[in-house]
Amino acid sequence: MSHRPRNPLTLLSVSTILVAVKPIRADHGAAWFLDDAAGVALEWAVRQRETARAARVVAVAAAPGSCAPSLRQALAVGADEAFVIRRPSDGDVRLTSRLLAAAAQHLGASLVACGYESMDRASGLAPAAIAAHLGWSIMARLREAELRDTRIVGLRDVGVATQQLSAVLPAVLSFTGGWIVPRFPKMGDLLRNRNRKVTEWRPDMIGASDACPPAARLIRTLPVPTRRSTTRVLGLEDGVDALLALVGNTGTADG
Amino acid sequence: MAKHVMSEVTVIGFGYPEARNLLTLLGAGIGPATLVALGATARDIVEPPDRTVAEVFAVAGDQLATDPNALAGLIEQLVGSSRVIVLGSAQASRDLAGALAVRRDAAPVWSVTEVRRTELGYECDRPGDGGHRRETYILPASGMAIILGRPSTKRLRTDAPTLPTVQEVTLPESARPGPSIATVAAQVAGGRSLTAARIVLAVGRGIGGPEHVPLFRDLADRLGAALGATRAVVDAGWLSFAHQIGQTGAWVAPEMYLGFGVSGAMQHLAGLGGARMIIAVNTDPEAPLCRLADVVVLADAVTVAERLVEQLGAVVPLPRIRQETM
Repeated sequence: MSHRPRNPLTLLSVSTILVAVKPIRADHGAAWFLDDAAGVALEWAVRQRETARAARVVAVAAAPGSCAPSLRQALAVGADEAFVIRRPSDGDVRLTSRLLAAAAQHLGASLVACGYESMDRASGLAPAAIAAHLGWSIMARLREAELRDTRIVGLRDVGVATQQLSAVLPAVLSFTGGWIVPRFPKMGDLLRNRNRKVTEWRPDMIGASDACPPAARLIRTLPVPTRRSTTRVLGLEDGVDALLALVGNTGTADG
Repeated sequence: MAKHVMSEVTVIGFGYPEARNLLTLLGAGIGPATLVALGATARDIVEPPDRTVAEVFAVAGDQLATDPNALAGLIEQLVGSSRVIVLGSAQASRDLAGALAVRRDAAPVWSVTEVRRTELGYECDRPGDGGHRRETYILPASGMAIILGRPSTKRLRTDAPTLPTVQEVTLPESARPGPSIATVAAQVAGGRSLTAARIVLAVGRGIGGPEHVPLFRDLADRLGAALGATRAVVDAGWLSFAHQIGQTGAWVAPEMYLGFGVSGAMQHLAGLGGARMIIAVNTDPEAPLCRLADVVVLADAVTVAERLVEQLGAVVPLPRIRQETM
């Protein structure tokens, strides 16, 4: 089955880690939900479609189990379609990125938008790894971005400056939080999508292998001794004096 | 490119200071490593590293931080058959690591505090459970692995290492140009890198609101500190992501960390593992950060900051960042 977009923009919102580790939220009655970082990317993509800069937004998760409820949340927020790639439970970012890159090619996408971390257990490598699979440009940790014809222009804060990045499509983007605020799905949209079908793919259905290359293996976990045995507790006046003395004894030259 | 020795471990930093700092991650059983300083020339490498290295490369090029795929192609040549690649944790390093992981099918491990070689193979440690546990991983028996290291204030004592000859390499132009990059807003003149700062001043939601951020920015300037923030502050839009400390932000290793109105969520504490002294300013003595701190000032964060600014005296006002919009 081939899914050809009417427009070259497709969002791949992937939340494998979120789906795998988030607990059931009893107050929402949902076993799965989108993580915040992926929510920012989804919000950005939906805005592009709403402003006619994109024709279709597709949410895709690579997950070891069925996570249809979280994908239905993406649909309620505004994604046009949603897919789950069933992946083995082991494997690392190399497998995740391989599956998502295959999905991008299968869908004919020319833009992949991601949260800046989380989908691969917070290594922050997945966006660049997806770009490497596809041979596309990577623009990571953007606070916002704008489609300008065949280019994507984004702003990124790097602590000592704000950078503007510009690349020709296709490209992979990742977004940080704080600037683009994800919307809450409306109750009507949640109800409308609650039974909507979320298609599941096996990796071979999108031309990808689910082979897991050898990964680093956890062999030991030990408690770390308590860091402090005593704590000085001070009030306002003594505290200010103590802070001034402590700061005076600490060099300020950057290491 | 000069023919080079094949070290089992290659350490790659964006700039020579980062590369040198990353050497502190190398523990027992690891021989001399290859050192690669990106964005550096031989003239930048004047101080010998704190640990004996096999060779040093200085890599120059226009697209070092914007085109990880092109950079990864060059790095593949430099690392040769190295088993372990050690990188930092800033964005450019993560982008490069992602590209290398795919190109070389290399197993990644991140947030690493030490890597060593034992009879079992290469092992590395990293914090787990919000810093309450130390996890040890063993790298795959064959193939390459990529280690993303945390910054460290650890100082090495070595037997007077000498600086080997620095080989200069230039990144060739990519067949497909990566993104262009331009600085569009100069940040505060005194803006400091979180990961390299000796003092970090972090703010949490306990400072009350975004209207108080300038006060703490001013205080950070006066203290010569880098300004950090919790994820809640960043998510609320009070400060940009570049200020975020924690599991999903910067990992810091300052001599002194000052947390104003920071409760100490596990997400944030995960980024403080390298701090030598922790000071909490908070009205809640039960806040997790207070239980971890060396010094707790039980007082309103804004009041303490105002007192400190008053006591520290006037400094030349610094230009503030312009809020760029698209």
